[in-house]
Amino acid sequence: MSRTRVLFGWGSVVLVILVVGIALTASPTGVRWWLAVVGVVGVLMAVPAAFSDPRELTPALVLSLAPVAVLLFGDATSWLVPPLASLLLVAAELNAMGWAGQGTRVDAVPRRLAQAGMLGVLGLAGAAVVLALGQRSWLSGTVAVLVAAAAVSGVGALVLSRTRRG
Amino acid sequence: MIPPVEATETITLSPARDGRLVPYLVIAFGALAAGVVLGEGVLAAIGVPFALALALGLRRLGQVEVNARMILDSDQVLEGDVVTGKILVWWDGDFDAHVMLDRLKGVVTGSGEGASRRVLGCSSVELPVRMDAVQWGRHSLGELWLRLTLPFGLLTWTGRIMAGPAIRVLPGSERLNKLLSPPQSRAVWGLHRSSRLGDGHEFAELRPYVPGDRLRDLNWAATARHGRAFVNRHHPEVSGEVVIAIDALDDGSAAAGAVLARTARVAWGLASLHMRANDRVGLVGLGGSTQWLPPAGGRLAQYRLMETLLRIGGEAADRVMSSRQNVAVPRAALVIVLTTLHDAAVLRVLTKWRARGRSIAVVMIDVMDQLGPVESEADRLARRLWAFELAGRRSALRKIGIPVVQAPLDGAMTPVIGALQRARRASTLRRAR
Repeated sequence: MSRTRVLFGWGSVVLVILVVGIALTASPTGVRWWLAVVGVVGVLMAVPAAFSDPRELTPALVLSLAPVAVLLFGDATSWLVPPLASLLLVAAELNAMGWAGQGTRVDAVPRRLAQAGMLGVLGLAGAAVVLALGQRSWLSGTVAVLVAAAAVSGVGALVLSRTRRG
Repeated sequence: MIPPVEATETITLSPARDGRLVPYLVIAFGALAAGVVLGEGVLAAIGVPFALALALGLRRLGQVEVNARMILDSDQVLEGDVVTGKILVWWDGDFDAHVMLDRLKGVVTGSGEGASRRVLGCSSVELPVRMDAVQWGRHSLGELWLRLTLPFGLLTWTGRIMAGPAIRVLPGSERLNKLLSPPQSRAVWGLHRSSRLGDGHEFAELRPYVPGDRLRDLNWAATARHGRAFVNRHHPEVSGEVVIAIDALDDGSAAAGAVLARTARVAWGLASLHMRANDRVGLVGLGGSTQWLPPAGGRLAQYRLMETLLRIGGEAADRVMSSRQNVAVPRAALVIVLTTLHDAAVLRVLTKWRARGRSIAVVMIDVMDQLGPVESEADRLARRLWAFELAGRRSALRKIGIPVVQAPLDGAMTPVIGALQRARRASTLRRAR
């Protein structure tokens, strides 16, 4: 296992820990312990997802997002959701960089890191816009969500049917 | 001048999904679904970064046509030489690409040179080939693999593009020169003497002249001494069948290549001698295939012999290939087995052949010099035990009528010829011409 491979792997795990830690700190005290259990499991699953084959990233990401989702229901904490979700996205990208072996070529590392950072910034902006729109009472959020869900599921079904697992 | 060797291939690669695709879809869709179920539109904000990653990562979904060309400056090199050439791969569209030459056989990548290359945002890649030929034999020069990705992409296009062309790695030049002119080539002549009398060069006896004898057979010295005519009688030379069996069971050790090269050296010398004696020479690779060489002399037969040797060497390098030991050896053939006696499977084959009445001689290839200096008392004891084991195996072979002789390290053929003569005395069957 190369040095950059290890750095990418542990980088993704550290980001997951950071997200869960911030989310737990800002979460309501009544559900904090339950969220802590879920978050810790998510962190524990992020470690094998980074280093062990077969890579199962889905449970780690979903469980780590649970404490973040709770923040949406607090008026003072909802602003944390876009950056934390984007950080989780960057964590997933670092995980993929480690697995893809891109780190073995040193001059490609800054480019890949810049791509992950750019994706994180885009995600942050998009999530902030959706959050701002969703908090407006004049927007029919349910209709918008239904249309978006149908579009995403259609694209997902199309992609999964045309590709094989790599 | 040897022309360059070229191989081309065109294939279509289908996309494969990256490990991030499914979790991104789950989160994007799950966030939207949760928003609907709970009546909270803001929940969609969690899935937006992942939905954006999906949109960017899936902007290209179709298959990609890839063309590849591998050019080698020569398909025939000497052991220790450098195999040079280049690999060209091109495709439609701009991708980040990783091209790699894998499963190399008989060659290794040179120092400082890699068998892979990565390029970013290109539609083609050129990979120089520079590899050291380390083991004689005929080898397929590995497989060319390609992996295409896009920036932010969640799909990859990966596959084997082509198999490399076959190359022939000949034994090293010094070794080859030795093989082509064995110093004791005429020693083999006596091996083929028939017990019958007839035309030939080998003197058999004197007898008084009778009408009808050829005048050129008159022995003038005997005639002068006895005062009446005497003629020489001769043994006719006959051709025979010789099967050279090479123990090509690679044990995977670092010395296996050197051992096989040493075996090939002896095999080449023996085969050349017998072919010059107009014998039918067959080669058997214990661990590989069997091929008979037609009874012919000259360069063509030698090339065929070398081809067979290279094939056996190439198969020895391929450890995936299963050993093949059920070889039909002609009853009249003298079987010369070149082996280290390390593998008990070879002993079983020899015992089986002997039980079927075949005439066998074993030339044992010594490899103790490959072990290096003794490093400890345990090492010394282990070598002694192994030497005892080998002595036991030699003894077991001798008990069933198989002479065993050790091939000298300097390549001299005299002891080998001696072993052949003992085998001849044992039970070699010959057919008169």
